[in-house]
Amino acid sequence: MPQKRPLGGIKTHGEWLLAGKQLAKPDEYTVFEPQYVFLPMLQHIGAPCEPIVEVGQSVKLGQPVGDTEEKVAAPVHASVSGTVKSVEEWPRVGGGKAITVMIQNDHRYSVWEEQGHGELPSASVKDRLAAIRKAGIVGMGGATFPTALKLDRGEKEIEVCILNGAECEPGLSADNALMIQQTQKIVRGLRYIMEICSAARGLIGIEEDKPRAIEKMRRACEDEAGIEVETLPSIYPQGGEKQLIYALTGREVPTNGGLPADVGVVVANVGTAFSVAGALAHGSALVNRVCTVSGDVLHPQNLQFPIGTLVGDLIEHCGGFKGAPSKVIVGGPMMGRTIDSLQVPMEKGANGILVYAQEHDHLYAESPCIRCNRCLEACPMRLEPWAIDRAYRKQKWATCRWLQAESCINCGCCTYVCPATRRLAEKIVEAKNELARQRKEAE
Amino acid sequence: MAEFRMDKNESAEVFEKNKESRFPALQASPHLRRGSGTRAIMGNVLLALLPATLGSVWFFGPAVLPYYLVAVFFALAADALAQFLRKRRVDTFDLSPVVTGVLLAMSMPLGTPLWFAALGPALGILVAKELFGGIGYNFLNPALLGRAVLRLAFPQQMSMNPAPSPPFGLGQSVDAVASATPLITLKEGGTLSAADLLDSFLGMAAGKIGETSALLLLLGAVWLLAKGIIRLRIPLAFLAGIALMAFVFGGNEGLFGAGWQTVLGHLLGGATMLGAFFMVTDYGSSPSAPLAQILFGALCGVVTMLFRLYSPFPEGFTFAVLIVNFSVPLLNRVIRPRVLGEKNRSLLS
Repeated sequence: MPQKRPLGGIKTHGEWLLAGKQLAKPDEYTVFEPQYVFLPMLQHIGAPCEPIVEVGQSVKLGQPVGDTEEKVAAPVHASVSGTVKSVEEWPRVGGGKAITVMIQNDHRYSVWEEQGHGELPSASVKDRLAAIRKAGIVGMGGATFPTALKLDRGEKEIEVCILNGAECEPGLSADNALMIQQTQKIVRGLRYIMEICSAARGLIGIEEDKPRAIEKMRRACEDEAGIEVETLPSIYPQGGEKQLIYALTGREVPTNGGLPADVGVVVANVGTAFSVAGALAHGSALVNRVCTVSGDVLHPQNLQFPIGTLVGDLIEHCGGFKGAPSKVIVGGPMMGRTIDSLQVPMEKGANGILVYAQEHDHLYAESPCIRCNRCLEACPMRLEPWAIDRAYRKQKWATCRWLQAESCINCGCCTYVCPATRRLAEKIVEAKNELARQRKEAE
Repeated sequence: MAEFRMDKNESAEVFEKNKESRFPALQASPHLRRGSGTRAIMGNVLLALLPATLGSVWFFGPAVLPYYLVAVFFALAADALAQFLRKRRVDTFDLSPVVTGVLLAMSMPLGTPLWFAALGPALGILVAKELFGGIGYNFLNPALLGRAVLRLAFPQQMSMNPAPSPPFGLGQSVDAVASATPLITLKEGGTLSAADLLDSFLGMAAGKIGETSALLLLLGAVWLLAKGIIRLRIPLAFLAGIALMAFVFGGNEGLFGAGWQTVLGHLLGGATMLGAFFMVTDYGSSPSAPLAQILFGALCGVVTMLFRLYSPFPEGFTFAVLIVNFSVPLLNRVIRPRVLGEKNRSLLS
């Protein structure tokens, strides 16, 4: 199978802003148990769930606390056992609020076994998809698209299922730790995904800076027919869906809303595959995930935590801040979102927490574009960021459209390399949103 | 919300202090920056020009230094004036006027009045750059515009080509009489010997202050390429355009009659090397898509040769590139790279 060098991208190895903030044990994760969990009814792309529990009710681990009839959605489950303390609006990562179920942990972790929970679905595709939906699984690499819908291929032929173990965001090692600690289950999840999509081939793409994960995965896949582990160059954003497909298969996902399935490919994050294995082999719902807490905290580490744990609780568990924090980011340094309060919960797609103590304000002051072309060379989609930025600021929408602003994946490479520290990615996303709005209006 | 406070056992002191704090307004990703700025780029260009600059002192003597100083001073003054008039802050000073000044000084012949060196950069920066919106918005190369104005206004003085007299101008007397440059020799139907070409390469041929030594300019070019400040596309296309035109039309006996000496003479002579790596590669006045860059470079080479072969100017580079600069906004409008996943798109979308 052809392996293509990535287009554009950046090498972030030895990134100076992250220097000295690495984890002591990037191959492991420990378990964290919070006092409270806050479960937003919207942790996925799509329609929000309705809360189906009441204040004062006691809930068990894995019990659904929110669900909906809407198609594009995923139910939310109690990630600890305990008592529902409140159901009210609560801030989310990325600004905005959502109805949130707050549960006080009784630390007993008594598992919910009613209504067929724990029962295994039959091997039929329909039953398995229903089980994945019921388990509340969404894309855990950060996209949070409901996995059951993604795997429902409909009429399309899927030839290759790809597991995304690239983990290209600098400084994150949660997927790395998961691949090393839960190798078998991840491979099993991939096998399920291949069966659901009736794909003969499975590929696991891992960046070359994770030799232990590659080695363990390779060994686990030795006897697996049709599954191969591929080493990818460590170039951000190698783990972008389109970039990963291009690197591993040479296929290009069509622009203007094309899906991986259009080129016979389905991509899932290794964490998603792990959850799929849990749902189909043990009947368990998505209640835990792993994230990397790094930056200016006392003990940077990978943690497995119940979904809905507050950012502040995780930072506290890591020994607190090292120096007064100036910025706290949920996700990785390239695509993560800043938060303005520590009292926001970690959702299903949250793969990291990064704390900056030092101010880097001078790095954010824009100066005029000198047309050096670095953004164009860094763009993994081969866009011309400087030109979109210029057209956007002049509100030339036709030009933005011609420049394919809507193909931007918001990886941030352009902003990263810009010598004039222009906020290119931010402006391109704004242009993209405006174009989408105009199109909706036209329809 | 207060009743749901987190447990406070054993948390670090800093954490306690900051736990309830509100952080600054939400910031868009990414939260990393490479942190190498415009000034660093321009500084590297100046470093790359250093060998040829020092070389010019070796070839022509300390008499060249006032040209550099005056040109840089007036470039900076013009830039500061423009910033002041446009009510911009001058403290984002980015070294780009210094580059313009040095490039202009390098393209003047020794012996011209010093105030030429003041006029050129000032005009270039005010007219070609600031009138169009400042750095990045200049579709004309400021150094070339200054140079073109000087050449048109003072054709006599500006077309002088003193012969170098190393070391430090002490070797033979530097007189301001126009000597035959390799390009003039070719223009007059002469041929170049291998020794002439070696002179051109090392910098011993007659010419402008900083243009004589292809070797020293190439040293700088290697630095720029190694630092990733320029790419090879434009210079190579430019040099290919020149070589091809010289080979096809440069001979004295009809088409395809040019010898290798003629082709090399055009490649090493005049402003070719300075132009290829320091002028046609100018960010603002060159296009951005790879295909457009190749077209642009080749076009610059071809038009330069048209001037050299068929106009009264043996040195057509300046005007040629300025003319081709006009095509850049158009090139940027019609040519862009094929986006990943884009199908059924013609070359000129």
